[in-house]
Amino acid sequence: MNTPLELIDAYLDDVCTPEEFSELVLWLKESPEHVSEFAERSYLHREISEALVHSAMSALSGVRDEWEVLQPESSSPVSNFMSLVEALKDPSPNKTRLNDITYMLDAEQELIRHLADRNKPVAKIERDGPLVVVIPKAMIYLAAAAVIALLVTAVVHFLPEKQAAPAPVVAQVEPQPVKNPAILIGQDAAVWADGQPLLASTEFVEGQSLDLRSGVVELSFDRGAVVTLEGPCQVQILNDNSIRLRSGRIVALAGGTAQYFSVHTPSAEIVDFGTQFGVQVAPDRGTKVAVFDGLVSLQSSREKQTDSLDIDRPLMISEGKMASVDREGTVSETTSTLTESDRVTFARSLEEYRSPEFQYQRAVMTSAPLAYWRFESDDASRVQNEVSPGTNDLVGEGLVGIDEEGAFGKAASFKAAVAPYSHFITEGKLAFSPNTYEYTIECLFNSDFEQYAALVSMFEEGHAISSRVFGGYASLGMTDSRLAAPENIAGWRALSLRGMHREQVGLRSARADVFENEQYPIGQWQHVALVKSQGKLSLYVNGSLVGSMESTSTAIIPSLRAVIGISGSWDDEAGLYANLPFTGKIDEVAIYNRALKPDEIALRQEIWSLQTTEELR
Amino acid sequence: MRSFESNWKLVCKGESLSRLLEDCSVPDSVPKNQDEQPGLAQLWVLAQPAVSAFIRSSVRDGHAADDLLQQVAVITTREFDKYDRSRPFTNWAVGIAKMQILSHIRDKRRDRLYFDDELLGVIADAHAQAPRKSGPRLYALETCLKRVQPKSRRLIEMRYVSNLSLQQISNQSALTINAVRSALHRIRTALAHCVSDELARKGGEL
Repeated sequence: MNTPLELIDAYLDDVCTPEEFSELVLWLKESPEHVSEFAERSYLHREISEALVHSAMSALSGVRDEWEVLQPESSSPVSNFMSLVEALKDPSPNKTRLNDITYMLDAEQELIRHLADRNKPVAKIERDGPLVVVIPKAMIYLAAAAVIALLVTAVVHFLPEKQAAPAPVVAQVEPQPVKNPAILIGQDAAVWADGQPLLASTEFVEGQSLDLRSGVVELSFDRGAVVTLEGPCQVQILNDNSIRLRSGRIVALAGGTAQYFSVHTPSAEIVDFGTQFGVQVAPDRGTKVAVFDGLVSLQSSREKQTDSLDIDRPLMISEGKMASVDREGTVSETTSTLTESDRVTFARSLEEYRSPEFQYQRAVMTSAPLAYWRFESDDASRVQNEVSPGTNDLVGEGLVGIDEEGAFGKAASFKAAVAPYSHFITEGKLAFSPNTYEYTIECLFNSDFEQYAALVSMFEEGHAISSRVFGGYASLGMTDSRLAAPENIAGWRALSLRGMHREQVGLRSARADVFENEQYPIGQWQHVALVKSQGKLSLYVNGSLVGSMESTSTAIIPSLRAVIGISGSWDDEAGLYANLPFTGKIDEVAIYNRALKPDEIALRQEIWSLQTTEELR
Repeated sequence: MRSFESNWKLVCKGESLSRLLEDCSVPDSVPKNQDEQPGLAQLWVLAQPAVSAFIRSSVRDGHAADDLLQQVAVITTREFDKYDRSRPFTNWAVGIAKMQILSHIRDKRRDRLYFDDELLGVIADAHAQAPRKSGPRLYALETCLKRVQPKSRRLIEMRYVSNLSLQQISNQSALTINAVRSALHRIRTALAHCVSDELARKGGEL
């Protein structure tokens, strides 16, 4: 619930939602005191602006603390100027208007000199054809400049009548000619082609080309657009509201005064309608456009170059959609839904690029998983697979709970329960390559000793389960459908995480436990990956190989199911799973139909370390 | 405060703006016992803060607000001979601003976040009637701004000097837009309290 002052500030900052606005209006209508409070707060906004603008301008001009009241005493340039304005307001029929204007222009020149002599950044008056008055925008807020603002406004207003010029005279604050339309506002590990680093606030001129080899930089354009470039990337600054992307990828955040920001690529032109969107130019010069927010239009460069009289109809791409143009300029007929892979292709800001969560997702998606569950939904009964969202295939479904505090965002939570055990099972079949039998399962897990102890006590309190269940193997299990027959029950588990009471992580095979003494800290997130490749199962914990063993499962199999969180073996005799389930949290589960390389696994650990380091800060 | 002997004769050099406004600017009301009536420029200096604040509080688009202020300046200049000197000039100027805002709103019907005519009138009255003495307040505000922590100072400078939207500030400051909104609110409230304390300490008045 917002306080009235919070509502007023939100309104004046232009971030008020329609609901908040309605709330504000109701509050204002309650009493005149509320309206006075509103006026008072508005006035405070103006005063802060005034004081800060003054301080900024003083610092820029180097003449801080040297202000002057312009005085219309007799024979001063200011008074001459003012009296002319007054005279022109109600010109006497006996006077010649042309002479008045000439005189006024002389007086204006004198005023300029007067201001220049005193080194006052009060107003600048330029003439090019029709009279154009340029006032530093900030001066509008300054009471001391109000007189000048009024005078020059008035002069400009009256001049057209006297000149009878067809073109209207500019009667507003005019922007300076744009020479440096973009500025560097942020960077991370940026390496440029010439090897020279660029300082923050470096300004770029119109037409300047930039060749970013690696890292990320953010540019702010004069019209307000913020563009994030990720290396390798080649762009050219076209003007204060457009950029040419020659290769690589960028994300533009436009809107407001930056609406209609445009990106030109070798095969297309993309125009913003108030949004955030990413553009990628592939090595083959094709263009891909992903819209994260709002709406953009996509136009083939080829179509624009033709002399066809057909109505130009760009493809409109809305939020959450993407489209592409091939190197020949052929635009995809329809838009498609953005996938997680598309999303992590683009770093939407420097902040996002620096985020370990984004980097981790990007690492996973770059490795092309068959399935990837992030557990970000509130609905524990239906967990979205990020690889193919919205489809039934490969969508996880089970009795897993969701915990707000995951490794990244939320996580699957496995709490003490006798039956049914919390678990997570993939609904569909995971298709593996028919020619090889390789796979990788990876995840982040965090064991919960208290939950484990609670689980053990449940059994100790006499539930109808045989004592054999105290094997203590909490399990992140992968079930091989080929081995699901009862006689092969011992071979079910591809991976087991040992129960808490032994503080071990282990890989359990058909006949033996290995890595018995690998220690891992309780209550902390760990990265674990199990890789099956070339007849060998290898276990990586926190990026390091902790052991491997022969695996005889070499037969070609068409599919695989994954069961996560439940202990592996089903005991027909007892009618129960023979080991205790995992207790704690599991996050970012990914399954691949190939063996991840050691450096891919090391990268995940590196990113994960970054996350834990940030948490400690 | 120095006495204001006659209009536009006092030149202050080597003074900060706030000091200038406090000591050297035109008084809160134009002297009435003079042979010569105050001119438009002098009256505008008095009215402009209220007109500006009123426009800004009714039209959130800063660029549109600037344009409207310019329009009001033009109209007050053009129509000055119709101004009834028995009425406060500020009320007259705020009234013109109200008409311009209504006209602007009619052109921008798509944006639902505008006050209705009746409420706009009440807000205009509030702006016109609240007598303000900007000099001491600004001086106090400058003092208070010096006490703002560098991080917070950067935020308000982005908002008011660079004129960035909250979204743009969020992009540049590694804060969420809600965090920016909340931080700015806290800073403003702290500044408001600080200004009140400063004025009370100096025996001034709001």
